[in-house]
Amino acid sequence: MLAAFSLFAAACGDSDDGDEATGSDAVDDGGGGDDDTSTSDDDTPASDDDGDGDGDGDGDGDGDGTASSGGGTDAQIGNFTGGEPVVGGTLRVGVEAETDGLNPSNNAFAVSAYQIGQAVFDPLTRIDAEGNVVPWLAESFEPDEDFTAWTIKLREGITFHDGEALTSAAVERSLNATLGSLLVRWAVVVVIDVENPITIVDELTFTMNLVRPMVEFPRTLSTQVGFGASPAWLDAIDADQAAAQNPVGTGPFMLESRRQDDVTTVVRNDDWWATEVFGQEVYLDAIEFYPEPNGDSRLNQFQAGERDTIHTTDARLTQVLGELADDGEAVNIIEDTGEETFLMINTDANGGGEASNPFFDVRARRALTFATLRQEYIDLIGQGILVPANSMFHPSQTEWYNADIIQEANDIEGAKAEAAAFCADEPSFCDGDKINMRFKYVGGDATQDQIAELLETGWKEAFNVTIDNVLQDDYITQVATNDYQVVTWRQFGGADPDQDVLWMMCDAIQPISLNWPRFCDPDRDALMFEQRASTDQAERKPIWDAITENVNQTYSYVFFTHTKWVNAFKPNVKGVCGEVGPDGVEMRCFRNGAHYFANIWLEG
Amino acid sequence: MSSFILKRLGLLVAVVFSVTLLTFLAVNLQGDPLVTLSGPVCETPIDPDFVDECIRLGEDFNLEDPLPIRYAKWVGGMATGNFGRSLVDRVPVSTIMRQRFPETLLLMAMAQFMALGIAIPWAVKAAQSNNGRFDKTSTTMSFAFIAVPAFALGPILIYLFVLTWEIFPASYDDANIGSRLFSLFLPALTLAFGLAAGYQRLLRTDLGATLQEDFILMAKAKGMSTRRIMWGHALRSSLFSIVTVFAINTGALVGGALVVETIFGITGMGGALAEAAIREDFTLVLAGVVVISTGFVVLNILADTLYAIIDPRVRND
Repeated sequence: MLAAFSLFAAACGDSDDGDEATGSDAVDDGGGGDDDTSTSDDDTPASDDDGDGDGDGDGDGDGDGTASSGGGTDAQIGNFTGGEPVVGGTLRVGVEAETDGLNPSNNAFAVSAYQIGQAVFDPLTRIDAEGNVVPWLAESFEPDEDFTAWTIKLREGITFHDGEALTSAAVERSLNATLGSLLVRWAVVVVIDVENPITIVDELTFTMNLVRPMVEFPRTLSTQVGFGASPAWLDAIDADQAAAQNPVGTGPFMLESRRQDDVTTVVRNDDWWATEVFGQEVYLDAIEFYPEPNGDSRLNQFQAGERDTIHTTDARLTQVLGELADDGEAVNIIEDTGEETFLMINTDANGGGEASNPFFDVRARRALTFATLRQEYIDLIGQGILVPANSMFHPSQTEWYNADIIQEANDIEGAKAEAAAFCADEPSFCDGDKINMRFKYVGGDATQDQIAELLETGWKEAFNVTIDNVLQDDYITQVATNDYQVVTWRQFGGADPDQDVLWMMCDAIQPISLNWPRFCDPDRDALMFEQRASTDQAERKPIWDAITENVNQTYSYVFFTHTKWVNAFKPNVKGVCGEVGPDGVEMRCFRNGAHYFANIWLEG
Repeated sequence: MSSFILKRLGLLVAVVFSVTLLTFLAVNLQGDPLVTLSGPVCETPIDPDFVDECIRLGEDFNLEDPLPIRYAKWVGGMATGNFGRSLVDRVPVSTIMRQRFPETLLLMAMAQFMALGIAIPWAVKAAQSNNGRFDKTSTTMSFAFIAVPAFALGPILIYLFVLTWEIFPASYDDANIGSRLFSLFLPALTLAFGLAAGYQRLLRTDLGATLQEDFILMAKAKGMSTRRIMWGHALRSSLFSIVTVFAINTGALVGGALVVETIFGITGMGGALAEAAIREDFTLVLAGVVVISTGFVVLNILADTLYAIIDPRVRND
């Protein structure tokens, strides 16, 4: 669900270090490049020499004085412990892009919006350090017998920053705003029963009604869908959409000021409900978020001491941050079990123009897959650092990873044979024995130009390739509206794979389709819904094996690498992880480049 | 003089009108503002609820009106300082301009001040040298300064002055006027190098010609010092070209310096307008066009006025 919304944010201009879009919107991360970017108390280097993708040799990402993130991410965390928390100070955060608005009901939240949003809003549920879903604004959540309805009870006494009480009516207001939004609704309507989305039981209890059984539904409520937004604020937005820039939530920080593309400042909420309920104090006086799309500028600001933390997926910056970490000038969180980068192939015959897309036929898709110089791409972009991806699961995600799935590629003769067979039956899509195709990518970046050139080198053996480079905003829109044949993309990486069902289900194929390749397989849907209704991990694993095999054999994706996020902190930033929640359980501290702030303090 | 000012004001109105009209037509004819506002949903409304929403959006931004009516309404709003709202994030364009424009103006002013401060003494010294070693070295240096692009010079200055010697900050600091000036020093210097080199070349050439004039010979014959001749007589007569180019450059900088803003993390007009153009945020684009075209015309009016001050003969004409 997180990625569902982030795609729209990219359409609105989010950028990641100027090279590619974040979340699920597209483009490549421009290369890998670090050999060791984590530190721990014992300064043990964490090179990925055991091939399990986490760099510490044992798969759990731990070092002295650290904590693992759990929750399906494979993070290596440096030393954020030490000393007693200190109240006071302002944390300066460099984020990769500005966001068009901070209304979780209507603005799609990419990583930068999540950074701010996780300071100002609380979700109904959160993920703990072990990856379990725990109630947050909610006191409890209970499914009915077939998981098609979830009854949620809110905690008592929680108020928004404007003093309004958090009630069932407030949640209903938020949900209705989402369902009424022009774009964000598309990610929700495939889950929520739009005819009867919510039933109010009492002031603090409500039931959310789903279209089908969904065991992992509470996990969805940990994303922007579950963010508590003040009804008065939503009303203000209806009157003046500019009000979406001034979020009002229940979170540990409140908005003080916002100058877009300059700085957004939030200040401590001294009445944060979680302090009383969980005993979690808020230490920082304020946080300043500085959007800086230029990765080099962001790094310079960090090195010059003007930022206390930044994040990136850029390989070159990752390498520099690793060197800083080795010198003791930074402490880094690395996460590479989130998204994957891949080639995405549209299977709709009308993709990119009426009856012009050859990739409705699996032979054409196989030809493209075989003709893709994947190893060369991995060498160029991954530089021996990024983990090659064979599927949507990272090798360290042992609970889901299927080692039998291998991404095919680098078979030019095989590509030619497939193309010839296709062209014999469908000559209108070909010139001679070569299939006519269009490839789109986000222009304006030298790395993307290199990638396009590299891929064309292999493809031209079996294809007549037309390349379009497109502005990033248009890129997302064109993919969403079926105006493409082949693109590079970045996606998946849900903490639980059930969150990625959205990208593959038949229902998600709409005029705005979140099933980007527009590939509908009722059998695959059946598998996905079967695992969605199961509470048994042992039962879900073989289903996901079958799903990933299905994805592999339908040839709508050619997987390249697993994306690597790095969040770098100055050594005096403490408590990045260690926030406590219900029953003193430690909470997950970050997701795909964004982290939480309640427990952070500045030492010295 | 009053007729001169009136004529120039008339020119200002004509220029702004024609430039904005052309831009208005261009942005509206190449893209659908409703799609910019709403995304692709309004291209194919699914059910009556969305049809109503799309219509409402169109009404809010006058998109239902014919182009001439829409333009007329925009002009009417512009005359009262209301440039409408950004199509992308719905924030009033005047708010965006108010936030961004001061930084751009300050950067522009600092860059030009530095450029002149470098160029004028440099050109005078080179003219005095007149084909001597300093003059020839200056020629080479000025071409080098012109040739080095901002995207190369900026990172070099950052590496030296920010990261290595830690003299200047890495980003703009608007805590107070002192911090603003200090944090804009390197970005302004990056701009100033190329500007100064251009001004130096122009002024050096004009000084060379002026120094051949009879009145200079007369001044020398009267026993005036070289310094007085150069700074008191020759320089004044040689300023026409540099004033013209100065006005043109300043007008251009009013619209921001995108590359320098990007490198130094300055949230100025350059970045705003570039992004607005890419994202088809035509209300912001139009506002930028108004600002830039007005800037050009006003500055050229000032340049014409300055001619009259520099050269009394122009004043009498």
